[in-house]
Amino acid sequence: MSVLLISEHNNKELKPFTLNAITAASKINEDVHVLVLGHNSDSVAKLVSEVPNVKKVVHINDTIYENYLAENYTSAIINLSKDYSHIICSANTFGKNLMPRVAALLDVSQVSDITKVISSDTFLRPIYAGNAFATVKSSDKIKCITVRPTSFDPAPTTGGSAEIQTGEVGDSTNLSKFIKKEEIKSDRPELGTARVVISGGRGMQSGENFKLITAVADKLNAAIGASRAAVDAGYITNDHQVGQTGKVVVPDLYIAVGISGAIQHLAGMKESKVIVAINKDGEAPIFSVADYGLEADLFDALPKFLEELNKLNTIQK
Amino acid sequence: MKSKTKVVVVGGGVVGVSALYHLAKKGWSDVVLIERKELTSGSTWHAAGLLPLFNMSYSVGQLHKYAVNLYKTLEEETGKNVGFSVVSNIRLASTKDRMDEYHQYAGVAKTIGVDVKFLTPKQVKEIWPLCHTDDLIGAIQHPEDGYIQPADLTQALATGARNRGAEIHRNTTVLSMRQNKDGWVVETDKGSIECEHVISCSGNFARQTGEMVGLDIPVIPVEHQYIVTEPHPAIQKRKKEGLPEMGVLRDSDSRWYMREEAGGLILGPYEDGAPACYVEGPSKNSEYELFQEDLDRLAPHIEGAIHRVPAFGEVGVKKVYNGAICYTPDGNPIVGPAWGLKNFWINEGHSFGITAAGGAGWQLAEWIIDGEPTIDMLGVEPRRYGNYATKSYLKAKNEEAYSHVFIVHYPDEERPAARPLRTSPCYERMKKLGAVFGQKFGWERPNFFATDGMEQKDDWSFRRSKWFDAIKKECENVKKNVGLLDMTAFAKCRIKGPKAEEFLDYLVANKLPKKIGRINLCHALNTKGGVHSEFTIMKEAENSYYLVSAGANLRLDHDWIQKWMPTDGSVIFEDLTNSNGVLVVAGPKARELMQRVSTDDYSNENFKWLTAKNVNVGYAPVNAMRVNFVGELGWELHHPIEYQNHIFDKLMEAGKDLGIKPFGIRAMNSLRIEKSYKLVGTELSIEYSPYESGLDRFVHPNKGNFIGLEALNKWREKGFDNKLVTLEVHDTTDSDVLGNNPIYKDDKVVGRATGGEYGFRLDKSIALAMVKPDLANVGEKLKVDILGKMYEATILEESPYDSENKLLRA
Amino acid sequence: MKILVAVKRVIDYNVQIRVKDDGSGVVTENVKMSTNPPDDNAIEEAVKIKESGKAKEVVAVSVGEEKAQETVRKALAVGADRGILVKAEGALEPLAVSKILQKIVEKEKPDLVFMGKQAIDDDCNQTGQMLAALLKWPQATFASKIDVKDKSLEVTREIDEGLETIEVNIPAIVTCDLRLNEPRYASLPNIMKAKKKPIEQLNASDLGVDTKPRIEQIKVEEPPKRKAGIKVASVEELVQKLKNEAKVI
Repeated sequence: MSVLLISEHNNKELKPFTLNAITAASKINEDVHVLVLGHNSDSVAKLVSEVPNVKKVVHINDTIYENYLAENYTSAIINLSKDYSHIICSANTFGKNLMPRVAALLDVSQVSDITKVISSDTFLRPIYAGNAFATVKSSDKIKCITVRPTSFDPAPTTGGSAEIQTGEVGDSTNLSKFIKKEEIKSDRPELGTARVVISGGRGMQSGENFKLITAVADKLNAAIGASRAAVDAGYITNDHQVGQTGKVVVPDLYIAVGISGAIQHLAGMKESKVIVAINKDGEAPIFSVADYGLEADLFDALPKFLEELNKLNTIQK
Repeated sequence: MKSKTKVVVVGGGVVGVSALYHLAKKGWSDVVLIERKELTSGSTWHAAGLLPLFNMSYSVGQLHKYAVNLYKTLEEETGKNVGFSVVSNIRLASTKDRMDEYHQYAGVAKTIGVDVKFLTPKQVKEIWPLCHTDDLIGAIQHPEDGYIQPADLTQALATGARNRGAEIHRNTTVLSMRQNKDGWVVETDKGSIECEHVISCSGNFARQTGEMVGLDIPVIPVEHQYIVTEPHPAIQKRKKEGLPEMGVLRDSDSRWYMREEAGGLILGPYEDGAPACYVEGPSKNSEYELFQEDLDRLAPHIEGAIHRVPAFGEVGVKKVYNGAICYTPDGNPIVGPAWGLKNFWINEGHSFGITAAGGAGWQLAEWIIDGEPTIDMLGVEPRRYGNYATKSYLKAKNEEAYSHVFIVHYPDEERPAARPLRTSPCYERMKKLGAVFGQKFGWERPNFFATDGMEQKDDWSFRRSKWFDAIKKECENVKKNVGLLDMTAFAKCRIKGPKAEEFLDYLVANKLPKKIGRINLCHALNTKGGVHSEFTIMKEAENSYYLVSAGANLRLDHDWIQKWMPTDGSVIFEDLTNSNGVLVVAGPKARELMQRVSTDDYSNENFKWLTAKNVNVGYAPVNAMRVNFVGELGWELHHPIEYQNHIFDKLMEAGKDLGIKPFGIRAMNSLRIEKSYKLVGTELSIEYSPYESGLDRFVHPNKGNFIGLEALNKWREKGFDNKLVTLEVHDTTDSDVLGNNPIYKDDKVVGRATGGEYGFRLDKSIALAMVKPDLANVGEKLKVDILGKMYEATILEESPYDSENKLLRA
Repeated sequence: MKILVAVKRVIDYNVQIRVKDDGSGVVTENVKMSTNPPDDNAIEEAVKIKESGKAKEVVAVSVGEEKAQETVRKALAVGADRGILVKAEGALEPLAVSKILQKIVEKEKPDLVFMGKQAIDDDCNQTGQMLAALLKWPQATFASKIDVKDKSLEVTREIDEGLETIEVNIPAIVTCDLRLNEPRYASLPNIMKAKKKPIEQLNASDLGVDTKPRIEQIKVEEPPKRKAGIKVASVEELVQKLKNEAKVI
């Protein structure tokens, strides 16, 4: 039996994470079929058909699929499900929202957020925010799976020519209605979700000196954090506190400046993907968790850091 | 990591790091600390960081005082802020007993130079406006007290140690330790290190560390919780107005501490029912661990806190910390040498580790480098426990110690957990006779006997309580007739072998008894000339001696002997503590009593004072030693323990018409004070030379070399600072000296009382005290503070009761 | 209006997770447990709606072992009116939990069901959506704003691209994101009072729900160890490493 992959798109373009999910799907079974549910979405169906890993595209076009509403998507998927051994989509907000609704109606226990395909029924997935990894085996007849996109490479987008088949429109529930979509327009990302966080500690010596941090944060589109010591000393308000009594952050890049690294602080940031520590005390415990440690006076290092960043042409946002 | 060093410190909490720091500071820079995970990751990191100077113990009090002073200097030294907030500390009192406790404590504080102020409820309100003060009767304040950031303190000490050359290896696990010729080999997962000394500072892992070297370290942690609230507008307002923090508040009677934390409050109660934890040790990967909170357990204390500080109940609970804190059965840490092992040091069981770390590290560094500590460490001595302290005993006692943190620390308090444990055979007989027991070194000993309808129950107080009348009767009976005392708990041992005499002669400052059957009181000095141990030594045969010392000091005294003993087999040590019982008969009718139960001759001509004989009592073999600690005619009857009840029954039966009555430890204490007899731990201490303690006639500097002689001679040349005197305290009505009371002359502190009791034979309130030598003259008028009240006192001649020892020698 | 809030007892988010040596799971003995953090947001939102007068009753429900009662109590301490504990032993998959919750919904007939968007233990992110499917109710997942209208909710959802606003008919399921609100802390008097609020205890087996796992957990391992960090000599080197090696700027 084949694998059914639910695509995510905006009726014009395919969302990139679908390509990562296709790679995961093809590791389960090479016979990957992709479902495109949309409105005026022919271009998407075509794009998908050109993905070499895709063997068939099922395209269902209707106004009820113009906006992505899980309630309406579900019945179309259920209608197709009997022909498939696996139903897959990416584990982003799209797939997380959709797949359990499908799984429940199929009476299937879903496997969420897999990072590795071990066999067609056995997968690796992170639990406890990635502090542990579980190898799990599904016993359901149909397997509903979401895929952690960053764990799989995107599938190539050209060279394929899969058949595009038109599918049957499912029920419209009228339970929910799309109103609007808006991009986040905050000047600075939120501490809890920012991709980059730069934090200052007691080493900053004053609230005034946090300007140095702000300048770098502006450049990197980073959120600003602080250790409890800095908050207690009144350098910065406590909504910036990272740590056990403050916020827990897991950014791609965490830059700790003038922070010694008391456990209370480490508890709030040690899961960050890349940690940079700038501290003049070479024995500070922060260095034991830092991927890159710079033993330097922050008052020299920060302006220089900004200068170097300015030299770079592009910075990931 | 280096392969050789002088000292390996095992454990990187604040306690271990402080030990490392002090070794380096004292000049031993070639020292290494091994930490399994990160510094502070056991219990230090979740400690509330309070620095309470308050402690009823003279030794622990000095350790705390040193630490607080040290911590203030660390930032200047290391450049690292330790977050020391000197906010003062107020302890509230709502009962008279609590105020008595504070007054007694204030005396201790005075003698060690800690500043304590008494506050009225109104003054409390001024400092702590959020505190409800209507139902208080008073409070004490430590202006110098406050709190610190434990992790920052640890890092500052680490920096100080590293700056002096010490090494710290984190994420390194000690796998095993073994003794070699020169010291120790410590095997870690990153390689092995040879060293001269090892210090165990492993906190929650204390028992596991001990197991590696065959020690049963009497430490098991107990769960402690504290509650952190979100900010309270009233506190935030104070902050905005620039008002100082209100300081640490302790409501002892409701058993909690409270302080400000980031605009909110922290509450830490010491409740009943907090369970021991990590009984089998934490898991090997444990770090930064907290347990499930249990607020139900804290309910009465939370209610008490809301009553006292209503603001506490007005804001939300942000977080509850429930973490392990190490405990020992008496709540004091274990700092000093391990028993039975050379150069293995224990620095464990710290329940107030942040405060104690500084002083413990300081004294251990002195001890390791100079061979002796400089302050009396008996209160924290590792050898104050014996092998009765089993795991299940520790679990029960440590949970009790935790729940007793805030109870009134009565001087005559006896804690009930894990009792009775060790009992002499006559225990049930004495119980029937009204004995009210206390526990020492696991042994049940009668404190006093409840007679004439008195309830068979203890009555604790800082003042004379119900048992005062009971011991009066006991003392009077000893004076008039004859009393019987169970001293089975005595530590007893035999030292024999071809070099026994030579060794013992080197061990003690007094001459050994020459003739077989003679008894001498002998003192073992430490290498600095202070008094370490007291032994009654009886010569049983050529090169065979029987030694008796205080029961509580069994492990300390026996370890001292064994550590100095030649290892070539020329001296043999034999512990007789558990095989020999001791019953003491004392009083003018003791001779007649002995003659009734024994066919041997007890006449003064044939059985002189300070001699011993093997006799029969009834059908039982007894070694009768004509000594006692109460100053009357009498014998200590040492016997194989299985005969005890036979002997007991014979004595009680034969003594019926002589008026024989049992007496207890408290009566003995009153009797011995009237004789100016000294006890190790109070009058005798390593802080005092034997001359200061009035042991002149037991020290023979010209007899040949002995431990401490050289230092003692130097000390004598330098001059002494103290002299033990016996005082009569005038016009007492309901209280006597308890010990550690400051002594004044013209409003200046000139000494401290070491002990006191009412003397019923003299009908005077008597105290023993260390005073400045120039004041130590008979007839000198001094003043003594008892529970905050000043009393006139006069120096009496030594041994005011029967000063010529006529009764003893009768 | 009545709001049912589902809460889960999980290992506290501050606890360092340790995998058992035998790979059978993570260590839960001697470990501090708490309410799943976004469930706190769910409770907070329900209580706020009640405080605004738009809801009459907030009922907290938890499914799990006996000790999950503590989690229900915590919800009661911050303002839920009563609690339900459905006792079930062993590992529970979201599918089973949603079936149990379906039974509770059928019994309680709430207008809204709130819960956290995801539990921080199994990280499944399924239960709310599954419950919605079983009840044939609409779902609003990852809610960061909820407006209660007459017969519907207007919900702002946190999605990858930013924010999406949808309208869902009542009755509905909402799963809450951390940014929905700032959960209040319970005061101690309220914690004590919560002890007196009723908690109904039910057994999963009595509800006729099969909770047998469909997914076999073969083993649990620690994540790959964090690569030992390095010290860089200069700011230039640092920036080069971040750009070319770590690829984070």
